[in-house]
Amino acid sequence: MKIFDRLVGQETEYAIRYSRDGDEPHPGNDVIYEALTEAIQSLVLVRKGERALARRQYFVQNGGAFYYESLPTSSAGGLLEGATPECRGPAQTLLYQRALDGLLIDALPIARRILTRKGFPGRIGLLKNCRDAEGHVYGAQENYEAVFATGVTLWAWRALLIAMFPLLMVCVAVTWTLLVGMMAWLFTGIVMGWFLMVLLPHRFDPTFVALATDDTTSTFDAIEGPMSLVFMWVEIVVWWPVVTLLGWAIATLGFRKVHQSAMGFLISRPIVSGAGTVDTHSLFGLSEKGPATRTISRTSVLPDARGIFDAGNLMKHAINTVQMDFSSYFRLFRRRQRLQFGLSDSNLCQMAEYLKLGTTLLVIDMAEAGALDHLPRPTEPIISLHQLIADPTLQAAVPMSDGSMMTALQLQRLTLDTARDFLDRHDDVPTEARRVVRLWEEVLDALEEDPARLVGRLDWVTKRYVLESVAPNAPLAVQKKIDLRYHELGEGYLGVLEAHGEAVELVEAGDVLRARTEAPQNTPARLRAELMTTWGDQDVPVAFSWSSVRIGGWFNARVIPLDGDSPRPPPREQQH
Amino acid sequence: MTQLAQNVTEPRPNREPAVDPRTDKKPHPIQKALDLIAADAFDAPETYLKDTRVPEGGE
Repeated sequence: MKIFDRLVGQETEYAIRYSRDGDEPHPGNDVIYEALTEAIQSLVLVRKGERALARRQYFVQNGGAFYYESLPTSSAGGLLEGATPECRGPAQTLLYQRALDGLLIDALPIARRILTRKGFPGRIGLLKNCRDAEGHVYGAQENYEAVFATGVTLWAWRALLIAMFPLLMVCVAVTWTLLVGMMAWLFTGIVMGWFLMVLLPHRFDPTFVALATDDTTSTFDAIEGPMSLVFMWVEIVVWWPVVTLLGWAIATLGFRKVHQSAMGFLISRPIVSGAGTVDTHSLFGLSEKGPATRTISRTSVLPDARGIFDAGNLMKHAINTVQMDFSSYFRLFRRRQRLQFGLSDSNLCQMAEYLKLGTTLLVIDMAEAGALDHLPRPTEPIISLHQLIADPTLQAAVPMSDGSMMTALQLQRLTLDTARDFLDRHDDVPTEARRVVRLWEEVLDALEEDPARLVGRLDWVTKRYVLESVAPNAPLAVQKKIDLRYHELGEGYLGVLEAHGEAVELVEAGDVLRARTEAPQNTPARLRAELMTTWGDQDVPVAFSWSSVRIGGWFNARVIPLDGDSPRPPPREQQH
Repeated sequence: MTQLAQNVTEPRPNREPAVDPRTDKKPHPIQKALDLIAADAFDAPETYLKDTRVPEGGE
C-alpha cells in the first residue's frame, strides 16, 4: 500500500454572528447566508449544486462547496457549512481549508454592504468553532477515503444491503404515500379556506387571510416551518428501521480495523487537535466536541447521537432513495467508502490542523495494514475520552486492555513510535509523512516539557494562554467571550495573534490565494471544476454534486460520474 | 496548472514584528496582542454571547 494515498476532505460549520448597529431587527441567518452567497459569487465562480433547493448548496471554482445548514425548527437560525474539495495529503487539505476560510473572510465586508443596503447595518462575523455559549454543538467533520470491509465481512455487508432493499422500497412507498396525502390535505385545506374567506372575509386569522390575497410569501413563510418539521418527523419515524439496521451494520461491519485499533490514538488526539473550551463552571477542557460525544459510531441521524465516528453520511445513501436516487444506495456496495470523524474540533492554528490531518492519515494507513493490532486498547473509550479531555494538565490516565493505565501523551507517543517503525519498514515513503512524524514528535515533546512553546501552534494551548493572561479571574461571560471570539474568522483573537506574528504558518499565502480558483489534481474536484467552467454558463440545466454532474433535463440527462482517482471529462465533441 | 501544496513549509512566524521607532527595538508583540484582546474581551460580553448563539446544533 502507498502512504497517504487516499482522498481527504473537511466539512466545517461556521456559526453566524450578527451584532446590531441600532434598533434594527435581526435579519435572520438565512438572509445573512444569502448575502454571503452573493458576496462569494463576486469573488469566485459559483454554480448551484443539485441540493440547491433543499440546502442552498453551491459549488465553488476549486471544486469545494458551501451550504446553509439549518433545522426545520429554526430555519432562520442556521449555520454556513463549507466543504473543501476532495484533496490528497494533509498539506493540500490544509491549504484548501485555508482557501475556504480566506474566501469567507473576504466575503464578509461585501456581505455587510449588501445587508446594509437591505436595512441591516449591523456587523456580521463567522465563527469557526464547534460549541456556542449555551452548549449547542456543531462544527467540523473530517472525511477520509478508507476500506469499509474486506473478504467475508464485505460480502456479509453486501448481502445485508440486498436483504434490506425490499424494506427500503417499503419505506420509499410509505414516505411518498404520507407526503402525497399530506399535500392533498393541505391543498384541500387551502381551497376550503379560500372559499370560506370569500364568504366571511373579516373573521379569520391573518394566516388564512393571506391565502386569499397576493401575500403568498408570508403564507408560505407561515407554513414552511411546520411543514418542514412534519417532513423531518416522517423521515425519522418511517426510516427508523432502515437507519437503525444500517447504523448497527456500519458500527459492526464497517471500517473495523480503524474502529478497533485506532481508538487509543483517537481519544487522545485532542491534546494535539483540540480547540479548547470553557464550560459553565469556568473549567477549561481540551475539546469543544469531545464532551458531546456519546458513542463510538453514530447509529441514528438525531443530533444527540454523536459518535467518534459519524455514519450519517452512509445512512444518507439509503435515505436518498426517497428521491429515487438508487445510484446513491448502490455506492454502498463499494469496498472503499467515506470514513467520517465526528470527534473533530475546528482548528484556527495551522499546525494543529496539519497534524490532525497528517497523523490521522498515517493512523488509518497503519490500521488498514494491521500495524496497530498489537497495541493495547482503551477498555472504556467514551469514559476515557471524557477523562482525558477534562484534564489540561495531561496527567489523567485511563485503563487499557493490557491492564495498564496510560495518559493521553503516552497514548500519542505509543502511536508515534509505531508510526516511525511503520515508515521505516516501507519503501517509497513520501517526504511529507516523515515531516508529519517529526512535527508530531516536536509537539509531543513540547507538551511534556513546556506547553507554552506551543502558543500559536495548538489551539487549546493558545486559547488557555490567552484566558490565563487576559482574564484569569474574570466573570464567566468574559471567559466565554474569549473562548468564542478566539474562533472568529479574520478579526478574532487568533487573528489578532496572527497579526502580531504570534502564529506559525505552514502554507504560503500565495498558494492559499491560488487554491481558491484551482482544484486539486488527481481528484474528482478537478473534473467538477472543469465542468463548472465548461457548462455553467450554457443554457442547459446542469446539476453539480460530489459524485456526478448531470447535464440536461430529467428525461434526456447525461450523467458524468466523478468517482475514481482521476476521472476524465467526456470528449469535447460530446459536450456540445 | 501547477500542483499546489505537495508539502508544507517549515513552521515560521506569520509576520516579523516591526521595529518600535521610539526605542529602536522590536517590541514583544504578544503583549501588544494581549492588550488588544483584553480591551475587546471585557466589552459587552453578554451581548456577544447572544449575538453568536446557535439555536440548534448542526450536523
